[in-house]
Amino acid sequence: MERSLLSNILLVLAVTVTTWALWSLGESRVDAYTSLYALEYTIVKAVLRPRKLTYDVPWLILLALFTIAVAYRIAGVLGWLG
Amino acid sequence: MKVAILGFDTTLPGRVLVLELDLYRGFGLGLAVFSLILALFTFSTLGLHPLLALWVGFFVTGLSILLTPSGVHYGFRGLARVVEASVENVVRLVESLGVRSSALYVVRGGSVYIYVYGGGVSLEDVLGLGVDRVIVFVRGSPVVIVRSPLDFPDVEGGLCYVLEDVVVDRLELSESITCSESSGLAVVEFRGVRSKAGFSLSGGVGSIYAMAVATLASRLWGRPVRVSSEVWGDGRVVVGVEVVEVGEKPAV
Repeated sequence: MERSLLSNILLVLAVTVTTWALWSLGESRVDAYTSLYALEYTIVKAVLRPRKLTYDVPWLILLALFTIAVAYRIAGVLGWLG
Repeated sequence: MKVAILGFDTTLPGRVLVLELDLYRGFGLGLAVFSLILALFTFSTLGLHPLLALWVGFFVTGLSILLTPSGVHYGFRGLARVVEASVENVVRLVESLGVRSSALYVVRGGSVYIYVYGGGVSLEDVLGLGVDRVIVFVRGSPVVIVRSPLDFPDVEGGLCYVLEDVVVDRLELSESITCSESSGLAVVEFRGVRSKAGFSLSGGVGSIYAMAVATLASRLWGRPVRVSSEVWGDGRVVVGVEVVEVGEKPAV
């Protein structure tokens, strides 16, 4: 199977399974979900190297969400959020 | 199967731009839009609910499908055999005529043609020739004119991207490539090569890999191109191509 097609199939499966698993564990933080999506997407991208027409926009979106989530958590630990 | 999606071209007032997508990419666009709407609706009603994360995940997946180039999910394995045989035939024809000096790749009438010529023929002579005959004699020297078997008219984008698309994904002639392209020059390394077609005529038309690089470079750049170097190693080959400027002394 062509690797770009395989990577998209794996992404759909990963998103579905991750959501089901975290939901089952009672996880309610949205950033936990998006962080795992970012991790899975990065692994699939590194292993299968799927081709894209332009820049890998989905990956940039996930990285941005991950960065915001981490910054928010750090700010919370440092007490900057009040 | 195609799905057509209509939109307005803002740069051309009054004209309608038709964006054509195949069913696969159309599904990706639909998934992304549908997920985005559901994400906005979930956020406005439930706030930062885990359901929002699910829609974000599907939105990203939809974008990934939308950005996957068309055609990558079609099989091309059988095509490689046909191309290899065509390359062998071209090489054998040129070798049998004893024309082994230089090859020029030129776009003529929407197709890429290979002009193989000897030392007594100038670049201006070659560029002035048509493509009606296979062999033309210029001042007693034969010039062989054949259509490149590695010409893919549907390709678009940068040379490196197109080479990976054609040689690695469509024809599966090598496992991977490393490519560098800059202002009329390109150097490409093919790793895990799987064909020796055309190898015997290194320095003339070139192997199937040199032919692929020169053909696609000529098509994408729209200028005459020649193979400047081809070095074979252990399971790999490095090909260099360059644009040929009119008035330049032909390589012999």
